Amino acid sequence: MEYWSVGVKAKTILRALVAKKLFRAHYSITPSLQYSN
Amino acid sequence: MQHETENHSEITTPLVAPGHTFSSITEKISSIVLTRRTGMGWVIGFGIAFLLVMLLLVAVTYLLVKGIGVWGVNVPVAWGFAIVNFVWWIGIGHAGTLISAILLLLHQKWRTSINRFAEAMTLFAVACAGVYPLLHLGRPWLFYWLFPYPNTLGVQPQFRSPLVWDVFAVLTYFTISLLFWFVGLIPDLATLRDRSQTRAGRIVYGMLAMGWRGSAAHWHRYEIAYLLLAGLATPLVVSVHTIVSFDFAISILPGWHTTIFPPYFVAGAIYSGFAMVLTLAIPLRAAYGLQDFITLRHLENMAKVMLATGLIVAYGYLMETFIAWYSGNEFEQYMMINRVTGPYALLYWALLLCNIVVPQALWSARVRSNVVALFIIAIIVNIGMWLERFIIVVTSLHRDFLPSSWGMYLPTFWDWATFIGTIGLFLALLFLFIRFLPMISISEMSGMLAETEVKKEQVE
Repeated sequence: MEYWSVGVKAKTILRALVAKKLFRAHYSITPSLQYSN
Repeated sequence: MQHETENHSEITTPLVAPGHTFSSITEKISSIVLTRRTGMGWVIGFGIAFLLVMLLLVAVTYLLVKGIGVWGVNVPVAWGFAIVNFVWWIGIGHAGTLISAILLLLHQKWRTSINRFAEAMTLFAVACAGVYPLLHLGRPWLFYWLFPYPNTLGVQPQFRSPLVWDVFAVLTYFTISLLFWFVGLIPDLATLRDRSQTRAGRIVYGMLAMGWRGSAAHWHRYEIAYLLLAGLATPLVVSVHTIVSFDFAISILPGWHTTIFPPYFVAGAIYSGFAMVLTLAIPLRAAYGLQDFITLRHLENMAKVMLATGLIVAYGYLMETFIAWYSGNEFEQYMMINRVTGPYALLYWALLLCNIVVPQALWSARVRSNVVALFIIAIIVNIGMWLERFIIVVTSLHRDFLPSSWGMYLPTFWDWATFIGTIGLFLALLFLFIRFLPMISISEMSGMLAETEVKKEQVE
């Protein structure tokens, strides 16, 4: 087994998780902005 | 002419001891992590550090249960050990960033063997520092109120307060330092992955190496990322401690309200940081036989940086005293008289001894090349820099404008337990680092080797 590919997989999963987290965070914060004033 | 002599001295005292090849460097550094048995010294050292971390946990738990009244803080000395230790730890971290970023941009080759663990030291020191302001909040679980997040309370942080700038400065500093350290580690993690004897080692280092195969494209991107991060980290070296000094200098308290604070704090930070790097590098090179890589020339250069920054700090003390007299302001003058003759005078004189008098020995080349003497001076400077922060925080606060509101500050057991606990946390993280990651950059050391050989050929 080529162990460098483990790193590529880990990187891909991490990237997807971060993207998902940012996406969720963005849409959970945005509605509250409407009430801030 | 001057250039030639510089080159000459670089060749006579090489940065890597002669006789090393690419494979011997890789073998020597990676074997500490992969093949060498964990020494008894490491186990005992880590054990002690771990016990101190437990002490920290007890101290923090007790603090959370009882409140910050368990510390010696009071009115007027509302900032006690917590802020003293915060400033001390942040300062210690500075050498790592200076070595890794500024010396890289200045093409100072001698940074190579010490940059990795100096960067690690930065991260651990900032982690220890970060504990204090959080705990000092009294209600640490509400720390997120410091962020300007959109909220329904309509409460925003006070952006005119340097304490809020500090949150951003320290967090940015930590993030950039972490990225810098990690990016630098990637080629070495790949080396460890390829040399590891165990499957677990290959998978863990393989995940961390993120698919590094050492292709030209990888190296190209690595070099660009490393340089960009160095560029980003460089202003942080100056900004972080400048903002820490603003925590004091923006106020109107005698002893704090001083324009010399930002440069004096930055120089002091680098001073204490280099002292800490020496304190750690000297035992490490002896314990792991790294004298070939961390040579006397490295130690001597660090001693010279300490001497220079120590003199800037001495100038800061002198200016504080001069301005106190020259201002004609009786509160400023009293602040200085109180430091020199007041109840904390002994600490002030100890500070001058540790930070100014003792390090003058570094003018002597014999002292600079004496490892034991360097180690002792570095420890004395560490103590001196801690005393400096104590003097700044406590002597300024305990006697302010109104004699009726004067007071004294005495640290309690819990103050000491927290302080010693963070030293334990720092050491525990450091022990784990030297056991599981290469403490000297293998790829950069190999780069050094090629260069030393080319230079030799040029001379011949």
